[in-house]
Amino acid sequence: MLSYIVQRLVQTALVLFVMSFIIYAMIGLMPGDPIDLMVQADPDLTAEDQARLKQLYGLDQPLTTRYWNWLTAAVQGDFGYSRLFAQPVLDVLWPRLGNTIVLIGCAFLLSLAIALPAGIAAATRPRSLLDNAVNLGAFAGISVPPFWLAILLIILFAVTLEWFPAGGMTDPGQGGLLDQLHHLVLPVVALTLARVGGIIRYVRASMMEALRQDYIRTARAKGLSRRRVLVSHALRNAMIPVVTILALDMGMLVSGALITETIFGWLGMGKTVYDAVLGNDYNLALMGLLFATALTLLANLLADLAYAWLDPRITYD
Amino acid sequence: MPAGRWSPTARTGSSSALLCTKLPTLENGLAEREELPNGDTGIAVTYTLKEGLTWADGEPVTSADVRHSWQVGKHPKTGVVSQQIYERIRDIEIVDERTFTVHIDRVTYDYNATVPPILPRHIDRKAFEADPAQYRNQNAFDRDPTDPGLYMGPYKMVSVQRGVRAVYERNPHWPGKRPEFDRIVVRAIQNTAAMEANLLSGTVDMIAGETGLSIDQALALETRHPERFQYKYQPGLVYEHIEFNLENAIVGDRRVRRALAYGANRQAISEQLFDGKQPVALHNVNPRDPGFTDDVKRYPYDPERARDLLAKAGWTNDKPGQTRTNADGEPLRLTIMTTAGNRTRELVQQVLQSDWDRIGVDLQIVNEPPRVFFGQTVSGREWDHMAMFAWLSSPESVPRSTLHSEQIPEKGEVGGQNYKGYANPRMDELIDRMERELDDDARAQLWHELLKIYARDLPSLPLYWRAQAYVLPRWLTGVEPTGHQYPTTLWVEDWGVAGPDGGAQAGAAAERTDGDG
Repeated sequence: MLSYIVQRLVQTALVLFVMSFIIYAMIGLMPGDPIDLMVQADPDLTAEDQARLKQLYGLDQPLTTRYWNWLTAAVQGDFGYSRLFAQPVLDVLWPRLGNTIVLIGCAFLLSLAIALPAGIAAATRPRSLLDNAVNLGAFAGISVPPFWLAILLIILFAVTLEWFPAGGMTDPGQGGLLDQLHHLVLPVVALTLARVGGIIRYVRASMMEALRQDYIRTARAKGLSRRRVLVSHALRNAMIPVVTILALDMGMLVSGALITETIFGWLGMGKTVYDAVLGNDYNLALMGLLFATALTLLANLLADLAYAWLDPRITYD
Repeated sequence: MPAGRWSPTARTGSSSALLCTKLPTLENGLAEREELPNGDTGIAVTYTLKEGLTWADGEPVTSADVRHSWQVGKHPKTGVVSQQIYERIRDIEIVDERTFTVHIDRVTYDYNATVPPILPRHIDRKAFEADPAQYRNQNAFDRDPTDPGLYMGPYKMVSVQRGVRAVYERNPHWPGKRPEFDRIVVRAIQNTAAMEANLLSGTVDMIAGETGLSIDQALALETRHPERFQYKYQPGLVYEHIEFNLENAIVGDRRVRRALAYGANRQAISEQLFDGKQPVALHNVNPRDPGFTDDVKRYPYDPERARDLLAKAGWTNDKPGQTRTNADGEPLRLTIMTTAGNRTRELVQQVLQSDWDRIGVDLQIVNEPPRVFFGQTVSGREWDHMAMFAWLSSPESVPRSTLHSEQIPEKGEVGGQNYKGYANPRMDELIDRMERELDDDARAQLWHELLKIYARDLPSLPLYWRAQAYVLPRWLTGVEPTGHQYPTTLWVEDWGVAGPDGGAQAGAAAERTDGDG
């Protein structure tokens, strides 16, 4: 098992190296550069200014030279400055990564807390009133556009009822744990409602498949309790495809929470990387996307390890 | 310093003395022509800083700060975006702690507005001297933005979460009028629907016009909540227009450009889409600009005249409603491009498509993401016929980069912004002359001639002046939208709270601490 983990970590490092070049090249090949953006904001910018700035930022160099310069600095721990935030890239990303993990983590736990019982209940009573109600809720969650849902939550709970703030992470002069939790409620609910429908459908489908297996019939014939059959035998096997989906969801660090972060003013990775790509902040966009890649790869490694725990027939020796 | 405040009550804009005791001019003797070593004529302009002017940490604002700012700006490695102003200054001579003389290498009409933004030398010098190449990353404004020594206005920044909010509190050392509010919080909300919800929930008190709601969103909000807020719409210096590709044979023909102008009901666009809040542009100079004149060729909506012009240009059709063709049978099919996702521009495109269909022009809409549109299509001069976008300028901004023939960029090369490829020797001459013409009346005449040529040649089709929409609480007074490049907050000390009768409450207790904006 240990050698397998080491092997996967080496693979992860290689993938990250290749991805760093691919991402750098893709960002670099996009039309326009930071100086083009400056020109659009200031028609009085002279050709001399443009040439000077391109040289200063190294944008007059070929893409491969720029990448090599970045790579040699990066291996020495210098990941460059963010052009948009005027700070070292890691100083920008670490707090935002933490904010996103808090947001997505809370939404993830809440989604599981809803999806597992709902999916199991629906799977054990197919085509019942309960199943129909769960399916209806799940499809509603999948179908509702996240930005619309977020605005709806703000109008209901911030504007009309005034229970929660409409946006931001803390109030000026506050910033305590309770204040942060108060600001966290609406974004977590919005993200949960957007995600939970899909997870319910996965859990339901996996459970229905598992409940049809011979080993479930055998377990029932052995006289095991209904709870033990469902939890220890059916759910454990049903979770394998669900775990795969959840691991792939780590990519949400960049894309999935973007809308929620933008609407609620939550300073997270998605919004930061989005702004970096649009604002031609090469260093920040590159590192943000590499972070997301690394976390997705690590989450998939954890998922593979979870398979072995969930199904003892799977080994990596 | 000269800030070019464009008074909403006056048509003309002019520099005014914000930080110095008197605006230096040739007439009052504070500006003097001088001969340069190479025989050219330059100008020496002497300023005196107002007494008692200090940074928010108590250190005085001095002439040495001004000189330091110039040295930082002119250094090629510090990364200042536009170096024009720094390169024109030959030297800044310190006369005494509050008086300094700026030596400029040419005499231009804006000689008394040629001063760099002031940096605090006592804080900023260390980073600059340590390594000018690292200055853009290591300067105090980026490294420690809440250092009170960085601020000299009515407020100082006390906390900031980049991309989320900045909190400002009174600067105790501000020598001017005491501002009303203890604290102002500026929040950054990227989604305009969320911004509106924050306003309605009371999380923010006002939405600033500089970067807030679009005009149609503000109008919709006013319709839903007409009494709850005060709404101010201020047309400004953002010039929405259509650039023609003058190298194209079809729109390179002035008759076709004029036909398109006559065939576009721009007044209806202004009235129907923007409730008249974004007025039709006659040309590229705003009516409130000193150089403005309306004595130019105009293009009122006249589809019949448009049809005549197209016919004279060789584009005919047998039946009304059909797309016109030329002698070779080629249809009059034009493309218009703009930024995809910009709802306002997309609406205007649809109206133009409908208008021009009536004169036999088949308009194809081909939009692109802003990054592709500006970064490749416009700057690379890769659009076929028409590109719709806006220019942001300042009062009396000489349009050298957009209209001078020397500013036509070669494809694939760094250059000016005359993307349309407009070349007219007389226009070049006027641009060259107006920069050095000090007499206001004589300069106005040059502007007027320039605008007449612009309206006659029609290198671009003027659409409208984009307005800024301010949504303010009923109790807030003194917010005066400028309409130009300087934000309303430059005069934040004039903001106040309305008294019971609706008027400004002079000397109101400064207890309001939630003045979010």
